[in-house]
Amino acid sequence: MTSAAKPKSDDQFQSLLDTVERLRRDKFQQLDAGLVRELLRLHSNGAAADGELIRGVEQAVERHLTKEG
Amino acid sequence: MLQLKALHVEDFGPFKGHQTIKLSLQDGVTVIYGENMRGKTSLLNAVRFAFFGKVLGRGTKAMSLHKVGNWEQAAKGTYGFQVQLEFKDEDHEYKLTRSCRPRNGVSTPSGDDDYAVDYYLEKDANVLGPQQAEAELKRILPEQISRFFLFDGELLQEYEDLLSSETDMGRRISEAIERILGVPVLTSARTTLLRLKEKSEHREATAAQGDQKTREFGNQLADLHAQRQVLNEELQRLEGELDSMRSQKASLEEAMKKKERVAALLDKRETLDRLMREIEARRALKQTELQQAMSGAWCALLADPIRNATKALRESELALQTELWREDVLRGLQAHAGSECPACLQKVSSDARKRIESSIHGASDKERAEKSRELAALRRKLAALEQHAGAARTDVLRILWEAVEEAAVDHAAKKGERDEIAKQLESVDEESLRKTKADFESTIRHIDVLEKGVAKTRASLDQSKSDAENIQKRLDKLAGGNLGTERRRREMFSDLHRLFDEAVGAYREQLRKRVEADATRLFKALTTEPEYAGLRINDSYGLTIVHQDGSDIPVRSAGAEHVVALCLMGALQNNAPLRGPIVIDSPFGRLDRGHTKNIVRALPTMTKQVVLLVYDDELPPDLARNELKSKLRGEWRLERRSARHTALVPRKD
Amino acid sequence: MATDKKTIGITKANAAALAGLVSAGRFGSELDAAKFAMAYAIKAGVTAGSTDGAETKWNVGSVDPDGSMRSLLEALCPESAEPYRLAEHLMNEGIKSLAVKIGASGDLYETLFPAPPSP
Repeated sequence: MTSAAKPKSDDQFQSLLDTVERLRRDKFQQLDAGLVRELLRLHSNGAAADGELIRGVEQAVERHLTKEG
Repeated sequence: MLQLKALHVEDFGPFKGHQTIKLSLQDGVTVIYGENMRGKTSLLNAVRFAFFGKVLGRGTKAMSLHKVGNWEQAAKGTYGFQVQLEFKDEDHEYKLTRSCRPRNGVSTPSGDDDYAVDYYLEKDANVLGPQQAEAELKRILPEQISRFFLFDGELLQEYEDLLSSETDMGRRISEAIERILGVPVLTSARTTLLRLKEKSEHREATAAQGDQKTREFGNQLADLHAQRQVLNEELQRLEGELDSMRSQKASLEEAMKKKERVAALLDKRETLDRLMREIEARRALKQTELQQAMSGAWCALLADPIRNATKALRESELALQTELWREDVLRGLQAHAGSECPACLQKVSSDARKRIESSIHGASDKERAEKSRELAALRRKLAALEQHAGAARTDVLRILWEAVEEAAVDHAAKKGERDEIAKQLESVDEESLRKTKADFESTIRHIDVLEKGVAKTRASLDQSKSDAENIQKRLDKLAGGNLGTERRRREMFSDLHRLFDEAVGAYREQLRKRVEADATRLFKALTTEPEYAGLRINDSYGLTIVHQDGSDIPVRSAGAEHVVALCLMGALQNNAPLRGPIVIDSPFGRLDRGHTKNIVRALPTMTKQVVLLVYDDELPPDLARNELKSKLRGEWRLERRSARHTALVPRKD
Repeated sequence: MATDKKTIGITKANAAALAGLVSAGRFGSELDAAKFAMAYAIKAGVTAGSTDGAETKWNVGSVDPDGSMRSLLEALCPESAEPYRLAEHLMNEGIKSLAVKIGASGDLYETLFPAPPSP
């Protein structure tokens, strides 16, 4: 339910993403930046149910794996 | 961000009938003035009730809703109350209405069970469905973080617990802080990825079972994964139980803290009872001694008459005695005629002899005997006077008397003190105090058992994981079937999990630094002590005052505690995605003018909308006007109509 | 010579006041209180008289076992020929005026330990 009209919330997302992205660049270059960003986005919606989250993450990773071949 | 527009209360606490307070949407502070018992806390509670359906008593204890309705209305047979809150959030207009009414069929409610609490939420004039309404409210202001928006002095005091990692209250507040700061986004990602990593490991093991070469390892791994699953479930169960036990301990701790004063009073009452018994025994002993001594008190009254009578009788005695002696001498001289005078050893002349004879002529033997009797009677009286004069010991009496009086005064003073304590303890349920203590102890024991269980399960889990890792390594050297795909998936989840695991720690570290910097900036504006250089944050977001020489200021007063807590509030508001209004009840009660001024001036920088509930002495209106200037957005007053009826009126003076 | 009394009594009206004196806790017995009242009356200047209608309370033997009280009264009030009759009168008078005084000040302290006259 996070909407684009929540600038402060976006600030926080950006701040979380910056932290994760810096770590990815430094230590986990094998991971795709887009995928990591997508996973973080999925979790920043606090109201989503656990099952929904797991499915979302699983699908994102599967899509990525398929793309990679 | 959330902004409050208006609060409508109906029969809520002292607010009889329907009353409204309007709040400005412009940045700044609204001050609501009310003397004690006029309903400041009720107003804060009205906001709390609207959002969460809860009303808190002093501190954090939930209050019975049955007691919240207006008493004057209840006396007339009208029960229940309603609160409506109008607010804005992200360009949407909301109207939240929550009511507490007697259940159908209940005409005279006697407890909370007799009421039903209902609410509905309108968004841009459309009533939302129950699920949607709940989700919206959770998003707009989650209850777990409400403490950063709606609080009073007592709640501020709790932040001290963040300094010691031991208390469960501290743990709970830390969690709430992380929640408002967004750490759960990362921790929930980490949890999801862990579960998916384990799932992918299991998929790989299953794939390995399908191939002759890898079957053995696949079987072993599958067994270990099954074991891990069981252990994980057990760990989750134990941790869940531990969590609820810890919150129970925290509320018991809170209850005990509140009852500390009561426990001290009980001890004091016991001591006074013992002292009173001792004093009473001492008084009774002295009283007996006094009573014995009082049998001679009557003589003390007669001291003067006895002295006077003794003097007179002594004179009579002397006169009588002299007279008798004289007679004896004369008779002796007459009897031994011709001999010398016994006094001057001269011959007694015949002239003198004649005179002697004539003087003893009238004194017969009878008369002499009479005089002797008179003398004896006189002496008897003198002896009696002497005896009773001796009994008149006023000094001893006075000492005893004063000892009795002193004991009585002492007793009365102690009794006064005891009665005062008894009055304070009148409404105290001593049984519940004992029960709280016992519950607390049993909770601690339970937590201990659970903690050991968690540690043991973790160790088993670690063992199982390390066994699985060893087998996994051996399996990694082999290939076959569709193992490659499963392996790639598993590796990816594993990497993702590690990435987010490290991100949690890194992000926390950043947050602490930011909160520390913001809190320090605020603290420097608020403190009146120039030697204080700032605040230092610990792992659980506890803040310590730092002196300019770099040392920590170890002890701080309740007032300092409030200042530091307010700095934390400001810093959190600044770093949290969720910003909203702050409603504070009597925050300046423990602060001097200097701090009050600084805080009032700083409030508009902490968040956009602030509602202050104060009494005139705590924040004089002139001070508020001078410090806030154009940031003062409204002044209201809680005006007394009767003991149970307060009116909300705009302040105009 | 008239015969002195063999018993000493307290009038009905004074009996309650006497009991009140004792219940205030300072005296160990009614006799101690009655003697105190007697002394109080002497100090107030009563030196003669008799009380009618007193109900016997004590034998003189228990009031004055060694006869010294009688001698004292003879010394203090020489004009009285019947010391025990006088004692009875003094006790009753004393009780009456003490009751009035105690009623006003509430305590015997000032009676017993009068403040020294101010210079």
